Amino acid sequence: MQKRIIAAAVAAATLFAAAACGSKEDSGGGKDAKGDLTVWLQVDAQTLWPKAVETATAEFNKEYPNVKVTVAYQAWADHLTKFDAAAQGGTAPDVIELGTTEMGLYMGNGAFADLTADKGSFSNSDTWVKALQDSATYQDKLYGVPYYGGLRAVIYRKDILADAGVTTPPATWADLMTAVQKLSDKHKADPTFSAFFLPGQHQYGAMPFIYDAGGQVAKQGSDGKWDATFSSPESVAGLKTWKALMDAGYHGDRTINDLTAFSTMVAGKAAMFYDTSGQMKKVFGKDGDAKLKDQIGSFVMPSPTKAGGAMPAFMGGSDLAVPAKGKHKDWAKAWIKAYTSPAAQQMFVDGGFMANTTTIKTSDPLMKGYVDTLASTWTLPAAKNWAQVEKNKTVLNMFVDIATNKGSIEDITAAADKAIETTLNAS
Amino acid sequence: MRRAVRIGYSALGLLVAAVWAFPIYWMVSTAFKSGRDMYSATPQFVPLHPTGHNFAEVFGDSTFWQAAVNSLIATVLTVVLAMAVAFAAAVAVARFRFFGRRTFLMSILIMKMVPSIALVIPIFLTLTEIQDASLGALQLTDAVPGLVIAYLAFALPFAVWALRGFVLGVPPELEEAAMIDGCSQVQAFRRVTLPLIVPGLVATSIFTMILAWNEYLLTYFLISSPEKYTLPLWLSHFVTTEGTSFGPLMAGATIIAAPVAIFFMFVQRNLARGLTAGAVRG
Amino acid sequence: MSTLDEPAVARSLPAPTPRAIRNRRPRPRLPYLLILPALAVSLAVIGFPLGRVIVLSFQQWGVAQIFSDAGPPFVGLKNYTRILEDPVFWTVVVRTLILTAVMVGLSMSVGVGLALLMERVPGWVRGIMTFSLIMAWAVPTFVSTQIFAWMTEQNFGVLNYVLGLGQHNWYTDAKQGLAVATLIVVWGAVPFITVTTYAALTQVPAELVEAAKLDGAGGRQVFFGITLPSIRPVLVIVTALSIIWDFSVFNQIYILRNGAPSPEYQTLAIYAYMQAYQGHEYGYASAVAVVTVLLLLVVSVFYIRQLIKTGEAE
Repeated sequence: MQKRIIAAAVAAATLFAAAACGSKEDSGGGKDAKGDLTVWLQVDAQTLWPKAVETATAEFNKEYPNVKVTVAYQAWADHLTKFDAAAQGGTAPDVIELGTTEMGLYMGNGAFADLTADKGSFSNSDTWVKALQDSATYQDKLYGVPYYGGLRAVIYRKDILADAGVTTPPATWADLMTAVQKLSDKHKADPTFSAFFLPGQHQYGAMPFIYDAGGQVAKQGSDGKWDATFSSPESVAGLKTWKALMDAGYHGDRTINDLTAFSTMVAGKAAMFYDTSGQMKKVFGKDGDAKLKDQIGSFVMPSPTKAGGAMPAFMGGSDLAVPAKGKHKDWAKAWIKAYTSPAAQQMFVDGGFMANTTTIKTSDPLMKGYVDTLASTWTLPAAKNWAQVEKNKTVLNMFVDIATNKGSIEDITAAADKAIETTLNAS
Repeated sequence: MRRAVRIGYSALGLLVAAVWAFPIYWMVSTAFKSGRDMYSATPQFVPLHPTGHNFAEVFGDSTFWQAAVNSLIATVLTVVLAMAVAFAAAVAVARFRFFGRRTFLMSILIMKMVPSIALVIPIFLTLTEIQDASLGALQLTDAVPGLVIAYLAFALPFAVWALRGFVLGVPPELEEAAMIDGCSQVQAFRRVTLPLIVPGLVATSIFTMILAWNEYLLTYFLISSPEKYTLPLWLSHFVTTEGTSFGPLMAGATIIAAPVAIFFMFVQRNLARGLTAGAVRG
Repeated sequence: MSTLDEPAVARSLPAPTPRAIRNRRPRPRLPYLLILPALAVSLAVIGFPLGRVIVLSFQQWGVAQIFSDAGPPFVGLKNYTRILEDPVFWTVVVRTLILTAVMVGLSMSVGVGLALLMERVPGWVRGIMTFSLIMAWAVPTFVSTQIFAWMTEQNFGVLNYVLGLGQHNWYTDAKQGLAVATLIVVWGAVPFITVTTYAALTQVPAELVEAAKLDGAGGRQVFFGITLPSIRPVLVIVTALSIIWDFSVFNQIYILRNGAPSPEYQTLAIYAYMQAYQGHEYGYASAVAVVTVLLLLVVSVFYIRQLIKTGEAE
């Protein structure tokens, strides 16, 4: 009998010891910590700022010399499905990058560790861009660290505008429409020339018109139910202005997205387009024509409703999160700290994006339009199901239908609102 | 008259070759263009300012070479194993009658019908569990052997069914005739049936090779570490949130297609009629 | 030269008889040993996961279940009733069936036609044809689809330029857009069909063809009497595979429409991907997959019967 108790006690002690060892390894700090840390970043880091990743890992390894960091780069197409599979299989990464619009689904389902208490330990956390911080916040708790931002402004070719007699970038909506008119007149003979490249399958080119007109995409009632508001009078008015600019300035396929805008500008067939600084840099980057560098500039999209005002721009980008099931949360936070340091943020800015803080601004004159736009940004509502709305493309198809005159703006938006509400309010 | 018909056939054949080659030509010529020429408003059939920088970018990338080695190993192993495994099964179902034969044939065909997107998560989880159950002795996830087994499973339904067709295409009477001539059954099979099936084996191995060489979706789910990447996985890094880098993408795709061309050069002689005619020699 | 026993060959027309199969000495273990490796790999990598898909189709499994500690709950037939009650689903199924019929019909006739043409051209022409076809086959669909998208671009595409259509837009009308997609699918499928069919044609014993010609048979008679029966088993599997592939066509439409195909462009695979996978509803997605397999079985039941029968006439 006694023997048995002793045996049980030994067994229990062994278990506890094992558990203790395990937890020691998990949260172990400093030089003794040993193990593997897996980080999933999107391919953009691999292409645009591999140095930032290397530097962050080197920095992290100063504190944790025996932790091996593996950074796996993910394609945008199916990275969330892969994350789901890995989480189910018990091989989820310790750090994961998500697009700002992808955060809601996971935050709402308890997938990520609560970082509210750690917020102060991340660089510049008191000056994070509000739109980015909002995207990582769910029910007043912080579940992610803003990684980088992507903002929109108007990109233009100085030579083409000057050629049509427009020598200063348009500062007001009326100026912009005049410029579009002058450019269209100048290139009347060329049916492939666009004064303003603005296709339908580009939601962040269309939505700002809604916000500018006082509308919004969706709002949550006091009962928690979501109400899609693309068909509100304000939204419809904004969309009519968007469509008017398209009709006046765009001569191309209306069913496509914005990703060929830069190449059309390289070919000299587009004078202006509204997009991210990453797209602007492509015009004279290795996919574009280096000779155009001096001919490119950016300016704030003027507000059609407020004289002298700026159109509020969508702030997109990415956040870094720590999966709740991760075994090495302390290491994960330490790596994120290193990777979002001011030095790293500077590299993201050099790569063509915006920093996660308002304190790091580029002095590059090319970026003027973006820096000036920073003051007025918005982001999509942090609805748990917004990711589904993005994925089933209801919004994009709505914009394409409007662009290709498939019906009245009122009817198309009303139908879309109904579909979006069903998705947003599904359990 | 006959001569005119033959020339007509040849001309048609060359036209067909041109039609199928045109998109490939476009891919290769784009790979030699700089951004400015790639997007010029009038299409450039021949690059006006040919540049090697897209290829330089591909070759200068150390992860490319690692991925190329992984792809090569996985593909060679898959083709060799698939041919052996599928041929054995094809002979069994074409030349023997046994209980469960139809069920076997039916079920591997049904496996081919399941959309692969539906299977990737269950396959990933199943392989993870087998690996865990073997205490890591079987490296099935994030490892090249796991890829080989997975590619093999995806190639088998067609390979077994097609090879069965090719085996059935050889009348058993030919073998019998050889046996009457004094060959043993094994000899008759090796000397008569096998040579006639060589074109079928070649066609099936091309199918398997392209499948393994180009597989993306399942590989993406099974592989996590960058040093285990295959070429299609590596190629996907040119598609970013800011769009696709077409220059390096087309250069990469051209380089990826080249080994298939080389493989084809090696096997194409065996894909022709005539080599096997009169297989039975006295 | 050949010491073939001509009468024996002549008796084998038009299709091999099962007699030879029966003549084999009974060696019951051998066939099982031969299929064992194929069976084991298929079951481990596809069979068992397929079982999971079936179980999942009766469960609710999504992000909420994955990241909570409770397992996925069984929800009975809920996923299936959701499919059957969705009117869009049936529209998508009909569209998929029509597209499959057109794509399979076109690619099979062009593919087999080219294989026959390859028999009739000199070796060097055949070499060039095969090379070009295999290169087309070797290019990943996401690259080739992109190239076709360029060629059909409204303002700067080669197609409008060659056809003199000005700034014609191929995608506003989904019928035209799907026609472009069909072209890409046929372009991509023909190499596989041609190469495989040609390989089967090389098997048709030349002696038989010569013998038949000596007996005064014409080209058509030789084709239908000797060639076709001989390549039938291969043709039927190639057709069956084409049906399976074209039924689940994805990249050629999804990428052509920039990853956001409007509802008129959605086929079953795209619908399932956008509604179920990207929505992280894996239980529902599994039910769609099971229904897809059942639909495919219905569509291809004739072919499967043929497949099993060919070469086994009783």
